[in-house]
Amino acid sequence: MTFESPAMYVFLCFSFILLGSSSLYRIKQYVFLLLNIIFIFLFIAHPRLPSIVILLLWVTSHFLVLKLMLHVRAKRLVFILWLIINLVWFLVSKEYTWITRIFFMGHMYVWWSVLGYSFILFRQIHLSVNVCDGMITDIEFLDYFNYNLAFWTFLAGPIQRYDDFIGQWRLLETTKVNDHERIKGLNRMLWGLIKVVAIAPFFEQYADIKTFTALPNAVNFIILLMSFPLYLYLNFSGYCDVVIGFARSVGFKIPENFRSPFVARNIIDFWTRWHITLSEFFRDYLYFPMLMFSSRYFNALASSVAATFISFFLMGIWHGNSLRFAVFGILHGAGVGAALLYTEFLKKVLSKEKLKAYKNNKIIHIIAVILCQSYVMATFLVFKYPMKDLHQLLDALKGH
Amino acid sequence: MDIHDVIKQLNVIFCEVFDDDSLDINETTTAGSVDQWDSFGHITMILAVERVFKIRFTTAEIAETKKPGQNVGTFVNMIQKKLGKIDV
Repeated sequence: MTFESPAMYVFLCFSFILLGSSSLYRIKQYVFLLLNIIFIFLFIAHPRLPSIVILLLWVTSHFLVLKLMLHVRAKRLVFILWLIINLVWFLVSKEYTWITRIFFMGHMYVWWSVLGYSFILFRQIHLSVNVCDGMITDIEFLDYFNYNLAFWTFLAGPIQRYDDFIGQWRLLETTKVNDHERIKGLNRMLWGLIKVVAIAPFFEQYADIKTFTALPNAVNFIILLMSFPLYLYLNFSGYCDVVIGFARSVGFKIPENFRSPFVARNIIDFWTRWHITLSEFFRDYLYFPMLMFSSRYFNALASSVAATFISFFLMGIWHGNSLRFAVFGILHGAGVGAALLYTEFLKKVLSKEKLKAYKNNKIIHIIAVILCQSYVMATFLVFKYPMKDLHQLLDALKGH
Repeated sequence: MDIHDVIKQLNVIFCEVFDDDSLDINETTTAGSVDQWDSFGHITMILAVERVFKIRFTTAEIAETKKPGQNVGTFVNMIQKKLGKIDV
């Protein structure tokens, strides 16, 4: 089953009826758990059964680690050990061979499906940090499994925080979903589906480097530059519309993941609009801790640039096991670092009034948006195409 | 130290960190209403709070202060808990 397949929507109709009709809170939780397991079974690639067993063992082992952390004093030690083991497991499972071969000889053959691993990892890290820091003092089996395996965010997020998820579940207990909310949710779901199956593929057909190299001119280059980011945005935000809309139709709120990213005026602004829950996760669990630690010993601005760079490098690596995703992360880290330094420079050289005038100046705004989006779209070339295709592209550009 | 004293001290920190002497914060003040209160400014402010109040914030607590809908009031509560003025 794929996200675009009719079976997916039959499953959603089935879930809509079941979740809507189970009035008792506890029953609803069990129904949800069952739906989550059915969803994973339908989506996961062959070999299905061993893949599900491995997935459940991984998730269960983390649940037990959390329970252990809740009962021991050496929480931080347990957390660090778990994190190291879990990161190694993640890198091996997702076949990050360019990283794992630095540490191990050879290459491990991964025969099981790793569907959903990238997002489960985030939820696990978030839970572990919050238990370690004492923000979560108890965790129930059903809450934990439903949070980690929730079918609406299982494939690609948005990354919901645990307290938000639990808060939404508790609300289901006391509030009834009205028809207006249901219709709004279903409308959004339909709009998301249209984006995924009808609009995104239109742009996808132009995201082909060979079309440009066959006829390298300025118009074709602009089409190549814009087509993949637009396809990715429509596909991913469409997916988010479907899951957010569906959840809303059964009375559940999921955080937003996109907010007009193509009007961002710098790369910092871009990441507050594009895959928002991912950038917030990296901000909260990587950038902030690194910046806090480093600023105690070094210059705060230099620390911020370094923390930004490392965060984006790791975020790039998370996107995929090929080296080009690391390059994508480095380019965005450089973009955010440059924006940060430029903002601080403006604060130093301009008075408050002049800085305000600079920010509100429409011409500067338009130029900034064009520059930012050109940079973002160029970095998506690295994200999308393997290095040999990019060499072909560069040769075609030189020839032209 | 009661809530008003905490806000008063916080206001001094905010004026210094966000370089704006005209700031007059209260419990409902949010990041959106203070110019320059971005992620970098947030951490600069938290470090200053740690220094002045002689407390430490954890990663999860800092993440909590950046959640949508959080305001100075959330921050004040956290400071008071750490100073032992509110029973958790």
